Amino acid sequence: MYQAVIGVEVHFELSTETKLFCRCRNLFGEEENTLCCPVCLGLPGALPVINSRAVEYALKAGLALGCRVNSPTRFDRKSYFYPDMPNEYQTTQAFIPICFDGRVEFEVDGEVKSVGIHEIHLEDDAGKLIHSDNATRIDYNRAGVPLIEIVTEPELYAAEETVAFLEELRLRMSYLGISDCKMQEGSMRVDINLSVHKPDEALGTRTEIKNLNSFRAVANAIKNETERQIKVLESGGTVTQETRRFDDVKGVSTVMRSKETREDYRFFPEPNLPPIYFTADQIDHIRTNLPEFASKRQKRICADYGISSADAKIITSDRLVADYFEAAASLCDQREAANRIVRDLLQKQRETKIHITESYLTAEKLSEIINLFVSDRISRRTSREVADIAFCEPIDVSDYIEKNGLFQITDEQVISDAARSVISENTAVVNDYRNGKSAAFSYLVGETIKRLNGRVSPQIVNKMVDLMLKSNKNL
Amino acid sequence: MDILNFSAIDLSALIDKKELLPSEIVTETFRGIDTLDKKYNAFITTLYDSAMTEAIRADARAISGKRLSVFDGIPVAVKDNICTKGIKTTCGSKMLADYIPPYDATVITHLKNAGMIMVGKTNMDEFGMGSCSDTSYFGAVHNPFDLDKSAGGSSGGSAAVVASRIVPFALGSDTGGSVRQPASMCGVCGIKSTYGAVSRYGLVAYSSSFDQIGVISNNITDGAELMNIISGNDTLDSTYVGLKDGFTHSLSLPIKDKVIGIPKEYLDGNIDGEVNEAFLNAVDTMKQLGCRVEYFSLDVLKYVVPCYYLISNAEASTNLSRFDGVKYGYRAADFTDVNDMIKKSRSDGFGTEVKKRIMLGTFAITSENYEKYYKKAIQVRANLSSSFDRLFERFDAIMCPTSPSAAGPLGFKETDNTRMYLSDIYTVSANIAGLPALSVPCGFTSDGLPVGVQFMGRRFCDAKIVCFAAEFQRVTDWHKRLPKGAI
Amino acid sequence: MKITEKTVDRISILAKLSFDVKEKDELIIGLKGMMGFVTTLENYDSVDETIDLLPSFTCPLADDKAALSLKREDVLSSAPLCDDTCFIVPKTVEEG
Repeated sequence: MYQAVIGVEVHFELSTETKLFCRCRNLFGEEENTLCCPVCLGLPGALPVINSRAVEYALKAGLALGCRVNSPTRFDRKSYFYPDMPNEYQTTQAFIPICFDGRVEFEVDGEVKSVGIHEIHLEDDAGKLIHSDNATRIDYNRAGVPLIEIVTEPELYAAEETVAFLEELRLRMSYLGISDCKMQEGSMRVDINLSVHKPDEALGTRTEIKNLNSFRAVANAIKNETERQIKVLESGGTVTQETRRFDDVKGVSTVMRSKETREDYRFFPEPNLPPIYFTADQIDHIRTNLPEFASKRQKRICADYGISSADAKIITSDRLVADYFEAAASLCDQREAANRIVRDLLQKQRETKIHITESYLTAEKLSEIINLFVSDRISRRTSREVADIAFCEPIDVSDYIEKNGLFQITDEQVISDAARSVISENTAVVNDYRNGKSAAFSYLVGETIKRLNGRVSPQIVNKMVDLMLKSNKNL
Repeated sequence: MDILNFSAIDLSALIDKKELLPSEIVTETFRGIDTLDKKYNAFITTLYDSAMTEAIRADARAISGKRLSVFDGIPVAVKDNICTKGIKTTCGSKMLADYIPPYDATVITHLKNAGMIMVGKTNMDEFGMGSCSDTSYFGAVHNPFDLDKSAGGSSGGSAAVVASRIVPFALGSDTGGSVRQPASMCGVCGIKSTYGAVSRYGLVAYSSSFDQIGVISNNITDGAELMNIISGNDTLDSTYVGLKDGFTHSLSLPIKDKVIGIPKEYLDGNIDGEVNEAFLNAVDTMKQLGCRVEYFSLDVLKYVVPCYYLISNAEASTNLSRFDGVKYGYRAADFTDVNDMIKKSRSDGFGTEVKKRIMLGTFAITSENYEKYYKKAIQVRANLSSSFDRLFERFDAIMCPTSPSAAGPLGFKETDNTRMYLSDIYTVSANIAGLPALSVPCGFTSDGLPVGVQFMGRRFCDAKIVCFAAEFQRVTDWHKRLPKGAI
Repeated sequence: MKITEKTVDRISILAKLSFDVKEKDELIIGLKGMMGFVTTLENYDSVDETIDLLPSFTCPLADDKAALSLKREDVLSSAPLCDDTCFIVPKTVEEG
């Protein structure tokens, strides 16, 4: 009878070219302390200047989640000491977040649910601490990288539901192209707030579980914390407000800090940054240019192109792949295009770690190959082989097929010559055919195809052999 | 020829006429530093080698008639809280006693682009926190007019080197009067521009929403010309707006029939008798120049000092968090863990006054005080700004003393904090409301200590008060009086 | 609000500063002085709703175009302790 009540706080690192408050590059995996300047090192006298693209990305995120926009919005300082933060305060938005009051729909097992978005704020990331046995080394490359934090209302009630929402959220952010959304690299980070109560009673005391770095960990942490809190309550105890860390390997959570030891963050307005005002035109422009998101696009693609819902879901789970599909589908057989992408190209993408859209196989080339196949100019096998090569090498499709002699033989004289010689060399089989053995016909067709090195449409050979056998009984 | 007694504009004219070379001026400057600075303790760092190298380059430009600006080849001193690439920038603190910034403040770039020659970094109250220039880790600055007296602060070093004519002008910074008040104490001019007229990029922050880099000079026209140079373009300070027409375009405009407002509240109680007298004489001078004078009352003025107190310390407390012994600056020798390291480095690296203000500021923005006081202070601030906007519909300038008293004795410890803060009462309003304000000498006490008068103006109308001050200096000679033993 | 040694202790934890007994006594006086002073703000009640508390001009924003970062030797040049690539501090426990 206990019910879990869950809210999430999700951080996305924005994929801007530069940091939030300075023009050092925002890159992952560079040599330590090579992407630093007076501003992101917190040198005395340095001042922040806001990155316009980070602001635009935060607005996109907000509008994509149905939020309202604060104009003006403003930055504030959040003070606490930790050596990964060069200024020893974080520049965030405590009082007037850029976006607020949104709502997102998502599907769980075919059922549509929704969750409220409390607010979205922009803030800077901290540097990285590298721990060793007796010292900690600090790399400030990440310090100042722009983050958005999306805070939901506590309107989620189970692990599956929360994960479904997070998947929807990740899909939207990736459709917007504003973040890499890679949980392993930390460009998407999830914190969970969870309490339990009996449905007709007041909400319970919540705990926070920080830094979950996979959807699996989120699901496990929710289940684990729900059980833990219920156990505490049923044994007559009380849940304390605290921050916990979840170990996904061991499946246990431990206390990081309790409310008592929590610092007073002394939020107050960042005096170096005047408020940002937006015009209605700016907001409208972003709103009208939002992409069509995955769930809607999946339905449309199903209907428009007559492909299966399962294929459509796979294709639309990556905006760029969906764009690729639609580009190809406008130039060739749509089902064939879907089929190739889902069965062959995504497999190739996994193997090579090259994204389809970054391979040499453009949507135009793929449709050229499919069109050649559909019009019987090349065999299915050839078409798959050529696509496979064209993925990795910048070939000209028809040149390549031509040079390697892979076009189907369409010259009727050549085909009939081959068929004729097969028939004349297999009189026994022809007799079997005459005696009504249907396998004999298939054999003759197969031998003819073989003689032509497989480069011929079976239908044409079929027709040819049939015609010959019927029209010339004395052969 | 006693060249150090010339104005910068006159020196520049001599260079143009090829009667004087920058290297000759700089040589004289260092002769002045060598003989005088032992007495004043006004410099933390002097830059003989780099200054001479630059001076010789400026000589070449002067000879070939290709000077970069009106002040190409003119020496200037810079307060030690303005970052200079490759040159120690200490903020008068043990915390940064050996700190060498890897970048130049925007104003330093402007000085360099103008061909000006930086001769040294001047002493100051630690991180600008003080009004006597006696909280410096490098010792107190002595007033050139009386070595036993304070030079005022926090830009006391800059005021002293200008008063003694070692340089014609110097950069300072003004958070609550730190340019105007020491200028007043040392008998020189101090200009604080409209907030946003000069880039703060590279100025080590005390209170970011009040801080402005300003100029201390022997005469107001030199000062205003230097303001033209340092207020040049910048994209690194988001609060920078610039000043479209600069500081000197009104210089030739008549001030006859202009209206000057005087706040009654400022002349009650707190003010020293001789200062009051000098001020009233200055008012008479303005009347003689044809100005009309009106007294006014402004209720919100009684809240400005607590408002300043609260906001400046609150901002300072977080601005100074970055001094943690991790990335630069002082790190304590013994500690148990990283937390202890930060705590000990800060406790040993900061002086008493700085620590006190950090504590007060931290207290002021704890969650329970934020709502109660900080928000009120913000309201007072907004009210003051809009009140001044309305006043400047009636008045062309507001005039008041710069400080309620002349320079005090060194080593005197003000035990009553509130009294100390009340001494800033005339200067902080301009910082709270972001107004341009300047101080010019207007007399001396019977002990021979200088007294200054302050003009405040409408935001972004800095040139107008420069005009008032220039007219005042045209008919007075207080600014020409030299301290005994100078040069 | 009462200002006691406890207040000073709490604030010094937040400010990462430590004080001896004598300094603490001075700080208590200082804090009391400030509060006495600052409480005059409580009398300020002429809140004029028409006055905007925020500046009316919008913050300038920069283009998302990379500029040069500092050379690593300059990044580390003032570090109290570092190796060739990183700043070094005593072993730090994760707080998250």
